[in-house]
Amino acid sequence: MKPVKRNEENRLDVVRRNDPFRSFFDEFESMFEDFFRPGFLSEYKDYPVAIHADVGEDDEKYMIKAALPGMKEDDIKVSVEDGVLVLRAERREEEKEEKKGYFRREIGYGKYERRFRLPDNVNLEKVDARYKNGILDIDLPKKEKGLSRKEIKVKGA
Amino acid sequence: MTLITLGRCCPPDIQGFETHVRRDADDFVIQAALPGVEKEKIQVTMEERRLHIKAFRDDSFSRGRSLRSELPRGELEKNYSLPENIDAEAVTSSYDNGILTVRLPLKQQPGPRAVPID
Repeated sequence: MKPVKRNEENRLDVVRRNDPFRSFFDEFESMFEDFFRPGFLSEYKDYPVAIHADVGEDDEKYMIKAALPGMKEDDIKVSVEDGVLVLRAERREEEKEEKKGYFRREIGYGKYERRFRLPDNVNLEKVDARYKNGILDIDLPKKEKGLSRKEIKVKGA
Repeated sequence: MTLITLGRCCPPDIQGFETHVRRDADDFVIQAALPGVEKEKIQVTMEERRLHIKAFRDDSFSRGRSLRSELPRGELEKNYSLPENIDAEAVTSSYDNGILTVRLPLKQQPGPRAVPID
């Protein structure tokens, strides 16, 4: 499939202008701008497809809901590398069955990826991820206030 | 209204969802990516030669504030006009891990039949 430029830039401009977390949750933006996304149901893609996600926060945590329809838990890998949360998913097996000359492929296969630069106050020890109804649900608890604060005593010469 | 088209793959748009249609040996299969939609909030309806898919996706976060919003939410809808040879009575659908699959079996073509000679 040939990458086709999507007419989506205007929308992204609006989102970007109003997004105070641009510098944080934003590692993969260029993929949205430049590629038509083959998505989850198309049959072939030879480059990783960006995963769409909603990001929110409350007083205790940041929350990410990433759309990964039709996966199994084992297909999904979540890691934090140098302060960047990396979501990777890959559907390797092709469930293909030939019947009277027609190939039956249940859902598309391919690689999916998204990176989010995390704010400093995320408690990495307590990050939690669950998968249900095609949504990867990640909770990123915030460090307790004051935990990263340290007074430095100023000494005389 | 989308006429059922082989191999058609619609990318998700701002208030839509990704769908894919294919033809197998004896049925058409429509798949729709509806991640995060509860099964109870999906409606598949056949009306004459039309198929309606309707779904509702709640907001991702019931509390707190949203920092980034990329997933479609609210009313999601897609309509298809079906070819004549679909067996409307035999249409089935299933929902698994965010993917809705609707199977539209083709009417069995009656094969050649020997006509007895009196």
